[in-house]
Amino acid sequence: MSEPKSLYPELEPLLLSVSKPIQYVGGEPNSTTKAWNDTQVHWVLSYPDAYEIGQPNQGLAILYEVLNEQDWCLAERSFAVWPDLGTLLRAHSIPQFTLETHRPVGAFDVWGFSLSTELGYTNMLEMIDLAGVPIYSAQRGDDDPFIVAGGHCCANPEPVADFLDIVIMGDGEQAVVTLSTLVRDWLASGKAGGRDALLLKAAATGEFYVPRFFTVSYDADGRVESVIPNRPGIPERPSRWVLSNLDAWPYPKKPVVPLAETVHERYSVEVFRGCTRGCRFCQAGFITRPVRERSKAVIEAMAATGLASTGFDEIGLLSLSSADHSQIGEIAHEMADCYAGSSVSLSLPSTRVDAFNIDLATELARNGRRTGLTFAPEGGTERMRAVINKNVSEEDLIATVTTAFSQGWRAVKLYFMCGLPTETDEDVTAIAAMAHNVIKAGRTESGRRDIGCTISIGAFVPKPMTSFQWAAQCPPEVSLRRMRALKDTVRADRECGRGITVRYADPEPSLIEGLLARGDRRLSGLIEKVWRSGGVFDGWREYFSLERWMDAAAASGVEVGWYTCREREQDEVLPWDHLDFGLEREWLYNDYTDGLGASSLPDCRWSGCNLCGVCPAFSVANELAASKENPNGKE
Amino acid sequence: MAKNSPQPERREPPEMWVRIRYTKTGPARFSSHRDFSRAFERVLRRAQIPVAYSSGFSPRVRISFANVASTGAASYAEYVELGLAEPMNLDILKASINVAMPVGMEVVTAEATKRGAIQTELQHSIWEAQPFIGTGIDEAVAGLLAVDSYEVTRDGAKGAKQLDVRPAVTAIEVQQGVLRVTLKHAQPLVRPADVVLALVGLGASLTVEPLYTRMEQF
Ligand code: SF4
Repeated sequence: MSEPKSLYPELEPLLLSVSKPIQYVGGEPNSTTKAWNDTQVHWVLSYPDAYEIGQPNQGLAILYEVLNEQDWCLAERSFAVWPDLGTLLRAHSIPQFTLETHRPVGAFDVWGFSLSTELGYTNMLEMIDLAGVPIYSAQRGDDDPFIVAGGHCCANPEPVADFLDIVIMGDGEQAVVTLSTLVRDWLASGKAGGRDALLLKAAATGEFYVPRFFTVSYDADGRVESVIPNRPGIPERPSRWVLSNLDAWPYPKKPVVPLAETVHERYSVEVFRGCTRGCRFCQAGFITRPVRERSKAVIEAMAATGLASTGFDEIGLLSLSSADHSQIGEIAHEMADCYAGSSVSLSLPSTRVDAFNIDLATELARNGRRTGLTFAPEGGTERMRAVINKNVSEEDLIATVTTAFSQGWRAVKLYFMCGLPTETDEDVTAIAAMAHNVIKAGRTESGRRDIGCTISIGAFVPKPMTSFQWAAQCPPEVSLRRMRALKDTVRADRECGRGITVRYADPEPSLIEGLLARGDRRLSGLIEKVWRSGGVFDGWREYFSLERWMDAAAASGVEVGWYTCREREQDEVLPWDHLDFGLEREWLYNDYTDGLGASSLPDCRWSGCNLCGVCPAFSVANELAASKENPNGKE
Repeated sequence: MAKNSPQPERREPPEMWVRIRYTKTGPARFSSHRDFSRAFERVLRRAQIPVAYSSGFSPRVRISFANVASTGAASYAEYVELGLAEPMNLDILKASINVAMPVGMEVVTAEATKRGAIQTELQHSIWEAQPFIGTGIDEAVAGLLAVDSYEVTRDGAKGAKQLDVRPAVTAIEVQQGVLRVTLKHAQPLVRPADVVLALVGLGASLTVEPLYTRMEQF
């Protein structure tokens, strides 16, 4: 395609009358602008939410650099525009544009979406439509971009399958380059064989899922009966990409430094990928197994170059549970030393309930204030915690917070979920007693009254590719009742209740999240209907409307309760069963029933393989930095 | 482990203050003051400028702004004062900052100054608004110059606000589709858009909404 023109001259006058126009202009340090004609494959990378949410996305930052490092590829960014600008764009017939060069997104070859929350689906449709690209894959022509999705939602992309051309499951670093090569060859051939030729080639590898080459059939009860390829030469179970040796992939090296304010303003180094703790509710853990750690040396080097290239003054040591890195103690200590006396601060997302976590937090807060510590027991009773495989005893928790208070911390935040399988009202109200004990322990230990505890509780949503993928979702009214009862129980003890704040998230969006998470292809019409009736930015409380979703569901004949609050039978074909994340279905089901029976399972990183299936499926293994450096040392 | 939180480090006052004049043009015109100050601190760190920090638990860069152009307005004459922890060659400072600046932001001059001088020394701004085309413009300009006082109502985030624009206008002309107006800095600050409101009130009718650019401060 010939070089598309910049839309900026038409866009600029509109920007005077929208909120936060800086998010639409690009030009940020480290953003990359390449000549169109010097490159063969033109990508747009998107996150279907506003710039402030999408720009800090780590996955997007990595792929942006990986693609732009190929001299024959170009990658630009495009985020959802707020409705004030969206309305103006439509009124002036200006399509969705990229930030780097303000070219129309529709002119690019490949358009990648990072899907990490189901509530972003309506925004994705809005962006595709605003680009002037048909929203359904089947309606796109040879000159439309290939719409590619990645991210955690791709554990079950079926509800949006009809909108997508290609789905990448798992780690994107190698996948995007491989896909680019296929696209380059197809473009060089003069698009021989049309759009389907490229899609067939991709699908034939078994590493890209092309939904429209799979036919879904349903049984008389409306359950999925089978999902099978409808073209010859396509593997039946497309599989996930798994990167090993993260040290060889030290991205992002120089992420874009936003001018507009965003939710995370820091340089993040992923200290490891994957998590094998085996929390039964945690999709992120199951779909990213096994653990792949970066070495201390690479982490420290990345932090140093990342700070120098961005000018950020905060380093985030990122992962699903950063305190679990095998060298995290040394890393935290050395980095705290290295940045002592500078304006650089360190943060480490960790909610582990143990004393080591406090040591880490204390180390990282060395020259700053000790504001609050976060722990995630997730369940209110010991039985509940065994069900979800979050094995923390109440004594552990009290001992941990006592240590924290004795070291000068004044407040703790505790995360919980509500609506877990087998949960009773008492499992939730028991959280109150736990919080009361935290306050008492804190007051005794510190000799002070200003001890605070915040309880943060949200509704559990069963997710595909987890042990709880068969479980019934708890109806929002039940979750709400339990969370309210918790608040009352907390307050009932006036003496301790004063120090406790209960925050609960509205369970209504969780119902829709649950619907979309475990839905099938019959939901695409519903998503379209919601979007056509004005649904966008569903992840934002001020925009989300349960009524809009329920009305559209009724009109499309979708029974929300059937998708959400129904426990699946063991042999029911799940809409995502044909996608290979390496997890043995039988193993997962056993883990589900073990969970219901409150039986726990240790972490395979430290106590031997549990045979979940992932490592042999992809010829990988847990990679721990400590044992790599010292292979004969303790494992 | 100490029972109490550590005391914050005390920091020396800056060794040197620098007055920096910079531009905010192209896409950068859409940055707000907050956007710019955040971005500029990162520029200073990327450029490894030895900036001075305040004392306290969250040390802040010693920096002060004056008369910041509003979001959407371009400028060739924005100013900041920056405290340095150690003296530095100002040509090198300027060059290093410019390498690290976002598109549309560029240091024009960097010179040694006394702390707080930009507040007292910069009393006027010359603004241009363009395209400035339509009907009744010359008459409205003459009409504004002929009175001593002209009140407009500015709609803002915090509701409507009345202000007299006339005393701030020290020079105004329209030539070849460009409005050029010199405004005295005062409280409340009169912006060029307020002057345009006055001209519209006096009978001018504009074909399109103009874009504003600050050309000079003195
Ligand atoms: S295959 Fe074994 S070692 Fe690998 S993630 Fe599964 S349980 Fe852990």
